[in-house]
Amino acid sequence: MNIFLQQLITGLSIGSVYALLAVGYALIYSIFDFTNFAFGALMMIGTYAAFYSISLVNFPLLGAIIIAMLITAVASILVEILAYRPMREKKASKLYLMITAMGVNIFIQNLAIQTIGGSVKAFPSDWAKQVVNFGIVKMPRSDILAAIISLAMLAILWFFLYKSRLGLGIRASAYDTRTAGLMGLNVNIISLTVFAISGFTAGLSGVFFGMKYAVYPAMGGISNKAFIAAVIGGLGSLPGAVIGGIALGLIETMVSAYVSTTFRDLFSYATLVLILLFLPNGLLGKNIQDKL
Amino acid sequence: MKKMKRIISLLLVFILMLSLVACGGEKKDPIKIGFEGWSSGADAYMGQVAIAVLQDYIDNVNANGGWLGRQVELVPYDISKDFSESINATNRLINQDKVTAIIGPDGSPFAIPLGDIVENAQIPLLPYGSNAAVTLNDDGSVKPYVFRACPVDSDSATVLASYVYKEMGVRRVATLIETTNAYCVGMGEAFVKAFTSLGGEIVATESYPVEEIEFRAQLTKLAESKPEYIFMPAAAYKEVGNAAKQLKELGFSDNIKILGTDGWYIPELMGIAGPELEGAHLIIGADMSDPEFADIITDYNKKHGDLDMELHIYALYALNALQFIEHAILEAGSTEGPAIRDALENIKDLEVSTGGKWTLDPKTHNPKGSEFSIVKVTDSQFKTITKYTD
Repeated sequence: MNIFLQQLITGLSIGSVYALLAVGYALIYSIFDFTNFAFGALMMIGTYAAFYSISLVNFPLLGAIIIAMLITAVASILVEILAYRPMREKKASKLYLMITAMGVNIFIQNLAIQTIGGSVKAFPSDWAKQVVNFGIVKMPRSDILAAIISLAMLAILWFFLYKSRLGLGIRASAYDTRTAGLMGLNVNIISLTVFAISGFTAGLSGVFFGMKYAVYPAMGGISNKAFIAAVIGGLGSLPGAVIGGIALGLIETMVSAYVSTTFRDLFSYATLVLILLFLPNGLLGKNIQDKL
Repeated sequence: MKKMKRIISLLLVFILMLSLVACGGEKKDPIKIGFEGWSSGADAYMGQVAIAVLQDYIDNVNANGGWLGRQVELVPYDISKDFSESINATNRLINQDKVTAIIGPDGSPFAIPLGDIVENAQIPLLPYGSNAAVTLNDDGSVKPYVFRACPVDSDSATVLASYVYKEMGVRRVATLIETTNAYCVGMGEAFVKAFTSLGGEIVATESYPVEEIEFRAQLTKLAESKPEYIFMPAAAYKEVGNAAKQLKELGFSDNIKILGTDGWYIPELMGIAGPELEGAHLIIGADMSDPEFADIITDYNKKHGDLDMELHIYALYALNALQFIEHAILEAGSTEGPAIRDALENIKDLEVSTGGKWTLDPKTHNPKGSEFSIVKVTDSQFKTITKYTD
């Protein structure tokens, strides 16, 4: 039983990182109908921002987290302004936007390897490494912090989307971007806000990932898993992304624990295929066709 | 008309002169040596450090007149982590760059498919960090143009098994192995075979796929069967760093320590998970903290400190390969593939950068004569306890 509980906690902690990243995917998808595959690279930028603000400037951990979120938000907005917006204005197909996103992802990752080097570094926080013993289960502080801040972030995001004017605008755009624009909404402001928010989530999950594992330029690879989570939950749906992320984390851990690690990805992807077979829009996705 | 003729004849003279220049250049064409390594992605340190070390050595050779009176040129290719890239790079090195010999690749799955390509082209290939199938075909016959520039991995796993059983009194070991890498699988098999034949017990076996970061499910399971050590012959050090950290997070690290091989003998690992790996043992072909390496490390740090990557044993294996090639070209007095191949096969007692004198076995193309060191992680540092041969 203890072992099962420990595995459950492990699964939840992996799932929470997936969930946060999946929310970032879902947010962009809900407004722009395309998947921002540059997300892994943005997440990596966040991790390095926190890494350097602790190791070079001696920031406290919370300060470093905030810096990471801000810098990632700026990077996210830059990607939007430099890469996506010009393409949207030229009415490029959504498919090409996604391919550009993949290109941006590989570009940023390799730029990082060439400028800061490909080596793996430990996240410079001894505080986060400490393990808290709850009797039956043990959890490192980094996981507890990740769970608390992720939940807080999701709550703030919910309030923002459902209780503020700008949030209303975002939801209107998510429903139908063109009509929202015709109704007088400034779609450019909305797109910047959305990219900033998804930058916040990418930066935040990047810091947690760095704390939990290590800091290296190719760490963004995990965002593929988050994308799967977002698809399982229903692309474009925020609650769906959270459910998908946590479900994927649990499935992976339980399969590793009680079946075999070699079957882990087999189960994850089989789940994806099965869900899409019976629920083509994922668990909570919108029922709209012709989305890429 | 006369003027025209004069111009044409002048032009012809000019062209003739140009072609003479070209002829002169052709005689002094450099000897090209290809290199294939992971130079981008998470494990870019593997290739980038090796390239730096090889280039330094070649600069030195060129400053001293080159080989056979010709300059030497390194042609490096990045094969990242895609298996097909090593095939592309090999074809390009052979057909476009016309290299004389190839160093690398640095991983078994990348090197295994290359035997036929280099045999057809008659270009020697010297991979390092690799398992038995790199130089041998399935039927046990040797691949004529492939020579290993590092100890065969199963040797070190066998020696480690005997060390932990006989010298440390360990009887219960669990294994955690990457199933997508031939190096890890080969190491695992050799260790299990040697350890059980001595009388030891493998109490549990778990695996993980390439680029894994999350080991807690496996570690929790392994810990249930109460091993004294977990044998983890990982090919990249971040996997071991994560596993060690997670073992500690789960609270097992006081009773269960990690055993490993040279695949994660990388000083940077101590910065990632030094305290978590305290008490881990591993076996390596050469010990980088040995005073015999002090000079080369100082020299490397002076020239390449800006790379922010420490000199590691795999870069020195690449250098061993270059030293093999140098020796063979000078012995053969030729840059023809078959002549170099024959000279490589007959290498005896050649001093190599990793220390010791190596002899290539013509039946397996593996080097003999390497000493193994047992290293223990103490105070977040790799410390050699002893040199050990079975």
